Amino acid sequence: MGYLNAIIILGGINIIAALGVAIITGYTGLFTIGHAGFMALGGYACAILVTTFHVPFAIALIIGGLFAGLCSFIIGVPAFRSQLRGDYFAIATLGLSEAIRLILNTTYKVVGGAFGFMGMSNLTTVPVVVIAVILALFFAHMFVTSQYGKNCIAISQDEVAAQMMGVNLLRTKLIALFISAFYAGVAGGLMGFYMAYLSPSFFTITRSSDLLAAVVFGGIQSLIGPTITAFVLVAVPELLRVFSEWRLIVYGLLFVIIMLFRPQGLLGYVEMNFAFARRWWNAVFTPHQAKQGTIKGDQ
Amino acid sequence: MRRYRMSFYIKLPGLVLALILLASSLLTGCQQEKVLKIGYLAEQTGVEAYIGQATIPALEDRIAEVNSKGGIGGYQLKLIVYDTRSEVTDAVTVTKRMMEQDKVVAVIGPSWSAAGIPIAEIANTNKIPVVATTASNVNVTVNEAGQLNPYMFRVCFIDPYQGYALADFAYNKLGKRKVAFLTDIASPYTVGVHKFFKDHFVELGGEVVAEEGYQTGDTEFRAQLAKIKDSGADLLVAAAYTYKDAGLIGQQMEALGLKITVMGADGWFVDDLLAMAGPQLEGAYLTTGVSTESPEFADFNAAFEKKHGVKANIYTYYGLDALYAIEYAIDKAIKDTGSPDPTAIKNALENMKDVQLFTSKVTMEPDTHNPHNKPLLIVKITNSKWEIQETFQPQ
Amino acid sequence: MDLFLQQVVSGISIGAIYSLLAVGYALVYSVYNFTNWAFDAFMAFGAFMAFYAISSFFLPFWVAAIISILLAIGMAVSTEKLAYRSLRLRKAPRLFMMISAMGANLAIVNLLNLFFGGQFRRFPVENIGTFSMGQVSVGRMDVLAGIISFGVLGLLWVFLYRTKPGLGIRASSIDILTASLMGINNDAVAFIIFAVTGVLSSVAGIFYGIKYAVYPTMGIVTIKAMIASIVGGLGSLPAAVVGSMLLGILETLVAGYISSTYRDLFSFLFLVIILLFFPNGLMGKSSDEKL
Repeated sequence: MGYLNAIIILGGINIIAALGVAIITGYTGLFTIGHAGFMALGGYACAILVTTFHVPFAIALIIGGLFAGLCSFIIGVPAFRSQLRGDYFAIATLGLSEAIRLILNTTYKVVGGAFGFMGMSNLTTVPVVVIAVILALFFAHMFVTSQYGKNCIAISQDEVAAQMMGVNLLRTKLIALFISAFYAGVAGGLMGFYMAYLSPSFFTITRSSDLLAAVVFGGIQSLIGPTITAFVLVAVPELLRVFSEWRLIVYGLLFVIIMLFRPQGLLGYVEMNFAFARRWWNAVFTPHQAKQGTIKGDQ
Repeated sequence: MRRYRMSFYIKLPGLVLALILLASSLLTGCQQEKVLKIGYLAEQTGVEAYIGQATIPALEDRIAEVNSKGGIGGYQLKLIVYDTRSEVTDAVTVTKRMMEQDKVVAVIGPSWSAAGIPIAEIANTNKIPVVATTASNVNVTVNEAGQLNPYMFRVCFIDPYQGYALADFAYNKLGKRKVAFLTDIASPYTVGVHKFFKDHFVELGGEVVAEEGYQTGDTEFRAQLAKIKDSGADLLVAAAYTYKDAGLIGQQMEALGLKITVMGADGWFVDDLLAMAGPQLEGAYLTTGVSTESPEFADFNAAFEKKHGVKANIYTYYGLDALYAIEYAIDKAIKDTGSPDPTAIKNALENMKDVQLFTSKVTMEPDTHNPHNKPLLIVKITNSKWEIQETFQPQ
Repeated sequence: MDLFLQQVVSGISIGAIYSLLAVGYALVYSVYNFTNWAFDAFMAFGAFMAFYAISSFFLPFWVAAIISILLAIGMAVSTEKLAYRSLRLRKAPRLFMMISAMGANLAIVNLLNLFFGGQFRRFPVENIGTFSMGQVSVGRMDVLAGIISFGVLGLLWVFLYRTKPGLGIRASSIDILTASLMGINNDAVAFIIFAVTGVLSSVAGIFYGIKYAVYPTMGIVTIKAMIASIVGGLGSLPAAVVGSMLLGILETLVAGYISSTYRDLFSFLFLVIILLFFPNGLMGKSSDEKL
């Protein structure tokens, strides 16, 4: 059971972090290879709160997330003010995440440096992760369908046009980055209390690029796509263990093959909504007469 | 009619095959009653791939040998290997997989401490012993609150010990007084040796003149080395975890004309280092638990390289040590309790006394799960060969 | 002063290697607007091919280098055909090309690991030692690597600016669609670009292998080159060289004078500050003239 639980928990953690990346990369069009840094910030903050200050886990998770979100302004404010975009912004996020890892590695006082943060207990269980994933999906959905979410999409389509339509670029991008870092921070907190240990080596560029891959595979401007792929990208390498040392080769080739066959991603531009379920429900269960009304309602 | 017949002819062999498969799976099911699985957390990919690649064949050979002699107490052994990519998350997941899906009775453990610490917790929960190969951080077997992790063991010595021994040797035997450090700040192992070396060296009266750092994966050390050259140090301590770093440090020291004694720890002890930078590291000192140059391993080394095309290294030996310890414990558990129960295996490991493992006789300390008084060799690189200088017996 | 000169010399020699790789990134970026993350695999592949040509087939260095370059060209061009072409034809966003490249990279690096093993190998060439200028010691191989790197880059410049195919590539870098309307064969442009990528990565791989070691994950260093090409200004070849030199010297000076432990922190900080003042990189212009 524990093995299955491990996949569910790590998959769930990956989902939450990938949702964060989806908001900034998928919806706002700013691509990042530094979200592992925000995970580290959230994780360590949460760990310190729980072990030293005995804050309840759920609250510590949220504070950890907020801390990561606030720290995102360190890079967000200057970068967005000077209009960094594309790879330039990506490098800035990478710089921040590497800097965070370096500082954690050399700070022995509170966070344990390269030895890692010890003395945590195992608080992340399957129900905790499932609840967190559901909440994360719910709020992400709320965000992307809100006016802010629409502004984000506008920015990703055409920044100048968005600005002309009255979208405050700086503010919208900062909000998107804040929420995105918050998600990563919460994921980091869950990760720490699943491993019952935190080490800066958890949060390397590999983790950031895995998250980016999950979002791209899942599809741009979609939440449900990255949710599925973030989980699958945790589960597939485990399934591929039958290939033993060929595993990562097969995994890499799968990346290429998927991109060749679905270059728009798994569910690109598919909004998470329940319209399809409603339509299906109507088609099957609603008597013919009542159908018209529902369709009208949809319009 | 014809069509029917064709499909029949196609189906018949299929049916037979299916029956055979079913029967064989049932039979192997019966057999599995007498198979004990042992897990090995390998690095098959990533920067540290050389560790797993030199260890897996050795473990497989040994297990085949044991099985051909009838196994242990009537049980055949089976090795379950999973790749960790040198990533802690992978190591944790596959440990769970080994313990819960594959039902291993013991795990040959991680080679690095960052993975050892969370895995100790998993071992305790599942009550299945793990024998770490080279996870040398103190907190792998005893957590930071001072409590013993009951199911976590190791066959290597711990960081403080290496650092202490090296400092002692450098100060008293080599007469060095000014030390410079070049430390992989992201590696707990290197940082640990650095810290304990420094503590003891300063205590003896030595002076630290430079402390330079780098990050795992770096290949360029000339900036740091130039500074060390300027600092007037007469000794450089670079206890790299990956021997690549040691080789590159040696090469770049030569390029800069920096000629001071270098010291490393057992992470260096991989024969490929000599091929990589033997002449450059001439006269360097390092520690190790066992030397591949020892005559008793010459046959093993030659046969191993001939058969597998890879050189045996220190990780091969530690892996075999762990396997031998587990073999002993399984045997003892069966003799004592009649069943190879993981808890019984754990008890047997805990009470190991003077058991001959692959490299040496080992006694396990029941209160720390570290090997007791494991002798530490100080080795000097002479003519691109390891030359044992001194055997350090801890008090 | 000697220490300072020594650090600058080291910095330049590191910068030369970054340059080759950064120019490879810049070239692909200039036409296709995506960062070729499979580059580190090409580099390791090139180094391994040269290594085995020398150590297993006992070929002289120059022959081995040429074989390695040819094989790396083959590898780069076939990766383009397999992993990027159909995406490119479908005008997929650049992120998808990057992920596809990431997959190709993972597969190639692990194939090398599987077939050749993960040991670190010393490149089997004679160590030609160092010479000293005052107190500053300079590696002869570094000088050679520098000369050849800039020789290769010079040839590339001549090719781009003095030949007809070069003109085609420059035209494609400005507007690939219009260029193809003007009769420039897009597939030929892709072939040439990736062939050049193969040459650059193989040369960089060989020199990196000689200077350091040959191992499957040696391509990790390309991240530095990527950073250099971005800070220089994406898609511009001279900018990639400037960015690389800057990064190489910056790294050694920070390590030498501020803190080697916090080297990456300070060099990243410095680069990010540069980006804040030059959001399109140091020499980045608008897309009119990228090459």
